[in-house]
Amino acid sequence: MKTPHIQIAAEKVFDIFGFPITNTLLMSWIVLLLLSVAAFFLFKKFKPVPAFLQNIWEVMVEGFLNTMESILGSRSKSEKYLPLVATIFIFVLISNWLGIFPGVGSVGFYEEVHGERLFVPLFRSAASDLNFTLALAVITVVLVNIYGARAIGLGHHLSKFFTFKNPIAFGVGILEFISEFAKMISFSFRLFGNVFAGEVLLVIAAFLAPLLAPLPFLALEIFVGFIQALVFAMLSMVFISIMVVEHH
Amino acid sequence: MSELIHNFGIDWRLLVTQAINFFILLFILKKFAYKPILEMLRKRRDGIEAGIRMKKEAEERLRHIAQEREKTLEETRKESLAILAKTETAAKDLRAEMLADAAQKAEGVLNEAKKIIGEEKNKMRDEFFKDAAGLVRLGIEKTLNRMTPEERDAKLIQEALVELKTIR
Repeated sequence: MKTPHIQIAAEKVFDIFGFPITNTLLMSWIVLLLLSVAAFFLFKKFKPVPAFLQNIWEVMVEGFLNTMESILGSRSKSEKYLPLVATIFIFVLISNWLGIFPGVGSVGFYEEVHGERLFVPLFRSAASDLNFTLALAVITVVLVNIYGARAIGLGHHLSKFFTFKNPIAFGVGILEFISEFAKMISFSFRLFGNVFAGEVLLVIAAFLAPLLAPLPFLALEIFVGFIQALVFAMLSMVFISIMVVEHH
Repeated sequence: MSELIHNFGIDWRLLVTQAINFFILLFILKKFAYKPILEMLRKRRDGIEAGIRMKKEAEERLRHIAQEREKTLEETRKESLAILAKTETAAKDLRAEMLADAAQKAEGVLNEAKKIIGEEKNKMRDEFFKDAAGLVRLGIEKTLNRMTPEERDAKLIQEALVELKTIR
């Protein structure tokens, strides 16, 4: 029996003028399309007395706002930073859940690579590609810093990293600066690692015992997908809360 | 390092594309999903707050109106009682006045009657004296039976009248 091929990097499906279109990129476009269509058509008009879908959306937004309020301390701040945090959550959550959809990872084609016949899935969970998670991580850290600079002023914000008050503060500032990059790495690798590991786990489970055995792992992946989206969103929330207040 | 990047499949073009994807989604969700719902929630909260405030105001006003009503009723009751009392006193005064007036009038009538009676009496006495003068002269003329001059008679009569007056 041929062992399943596991590849860390996303597989290229085709290219347009030399621009590689990978299966994870396709997946993230699908997520983008789905969410955009949903946002555009489902919430075309909000009514004072909510209908079914609006009700669900309201409960979600209220839940998010309440959680953010407990971390950020005020409703206005929560409303201000809701778009970033909620978009991260929704984007990652839907990507993760669509990634374990039947057909994703199993529908594809065979390709000859170095004389070896390899299976290339047409779609693959977006977060199992480091490009996706790294892009999200960089955006999050950069935006969090921009929010911080906007909230307390650029000078104050930069003084968190570069200060010459005393050698210890200087050293701590530099460490803080480096930790911003560490955040990007940890953000991206945490999500990537979890989702990729989940995919591998499902592939191995399906390979070893295709019937019933993958089921608990699928349930686990639904849970992990949710938790990872929540962790990403929560951490960005916490970083925002740290950045938008003055340093003491 | 480059091998690591290659193994993980990191490609700056893909990175940028994924970033753009995220920004597009952020923009669309912000425009169609977050902003309207936040506005809606805010509007609803404002509406509810306004409703509660109005309810409180209405209750306050109702309570105030009830108090006013009670006060007005109480005042009216007091006023009517006062009017009643005043009317009673006025009636009493009027009665006393009318009684006094009647008494005065009665006294006046009595006095008038007395006066008239007095006058009548005087008149009658004068007439009596007038008649008496003739009678006395006739009596004296008859009893004395001696005719004296008229002047003496008159003098005698005069004296007798004076005498008569002193007797009275």
